[in-house]
Amino acid sequence: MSNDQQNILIDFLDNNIGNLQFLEVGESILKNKETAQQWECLKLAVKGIEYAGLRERVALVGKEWQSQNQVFEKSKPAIVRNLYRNAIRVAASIFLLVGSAAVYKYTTVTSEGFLNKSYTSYDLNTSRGAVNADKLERAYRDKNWAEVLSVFNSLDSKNNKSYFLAGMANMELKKYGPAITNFEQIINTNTRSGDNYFGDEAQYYLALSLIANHEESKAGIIINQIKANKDHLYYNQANEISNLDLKIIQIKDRK
Amino acid sequence: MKVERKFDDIELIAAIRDKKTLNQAILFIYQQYSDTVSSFIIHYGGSRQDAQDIFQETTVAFIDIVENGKFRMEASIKTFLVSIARNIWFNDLRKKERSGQREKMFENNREQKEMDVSQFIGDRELKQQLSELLSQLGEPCRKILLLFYYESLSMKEMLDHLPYENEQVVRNKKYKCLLQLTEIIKGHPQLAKQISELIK
Repeated sequence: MSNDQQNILIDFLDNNIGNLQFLEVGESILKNKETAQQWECLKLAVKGIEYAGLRERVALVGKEWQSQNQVFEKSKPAIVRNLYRNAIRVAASIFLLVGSAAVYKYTTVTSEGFLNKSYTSYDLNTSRGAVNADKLERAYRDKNWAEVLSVFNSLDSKNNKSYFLAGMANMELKKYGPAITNFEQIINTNTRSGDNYFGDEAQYYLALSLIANHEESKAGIIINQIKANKDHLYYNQANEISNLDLKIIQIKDRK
Repeated sequence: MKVERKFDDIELIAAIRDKKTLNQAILFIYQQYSDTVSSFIIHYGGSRQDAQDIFQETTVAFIDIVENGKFRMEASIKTFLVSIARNIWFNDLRKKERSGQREKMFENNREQKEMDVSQFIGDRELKQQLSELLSQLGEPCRKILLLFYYESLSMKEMLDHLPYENEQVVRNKKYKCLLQLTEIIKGHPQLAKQISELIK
């Protein structure tokens, strides 16, 4: 094909051509293999350009969004540095007092104490689904944890609620490994479906189970996620959990 | 850049279809859904960088689907995005042959009823390949083609963004650049084969 012919084809593509020539080019595409090949190639090229444009736009906005987030995260340490400088001056004068407090804190914080403080039984009656109680719910309300697990294991169809009740029963029986599996199942299901059915509950009790299972780092991540979400059902409870306490338990567990 | 307004699903679709509000829509998608999609990718063995890349490609694919009028609101945008991300990540894993992770993924997904988005993103990889070929052109050509075919600017409007004297120079340059791109496409074995099949 000559350059002129190719340019006419481009004009045809851009809808920048007179009616008569439009028909001629259309016919040529149908009858001439070389023209047809060039035509397909041009269409693919435009498809690629349009997609590249979209990718660049999304990348640009995404980059701005990420840099905004980084600025937000970086702004926190800046405040901490100023506070830190002041704190150094104060700390010099009250070093002994702080040291004593730290030792006291270290010796008194334990994972058992931590759990006792943060764990509250989940009351099914006051939350949801109490009207048509099934066997699983009845066992749960009766606090018959072994029966809850037995009914759960016999269920043909399990949903987030049954996984949650089984998780709580495992927690009550101090079987933290299986409880973690139950709660993670709910979170995985919600992630895939985009729903949040029993999601907040599972997240909070998963964090507590992880602490009991000596996996404080993972628990810390979840607790911080909850603290960052004011709409979370367990926002207040999570905010009562101190990161320092978590660290202390983690250090103690390593020993 | 701040989102001045929030969108419900219907408003978001409308915002995507209007180029004037597209950037706001993209930003909203990042703010609203990137955590969910990233958690999913990280859960299935991806790194933080993988999660960022997959979310970006997911967003591109979703917008492309919406712009082409293929999104019928049969599922929520969140569910749809997670399904696209799952599909893209699964394909990436298959290519990288991270078989262990793939098995884990199968195992976990076995009993889930999932949305099949393959019909919506069947041509995504082709488009991605084509878009990557654009980077083989020089920057002036790339810019001219993007301004005309993606931004839909007229020759006159393009002059404001390019160092050329008049519209005719831009028009001639555009011809050359597009032909150059078609030559690159023809030189790509897979794409050339596809073109041959199309004209059979």
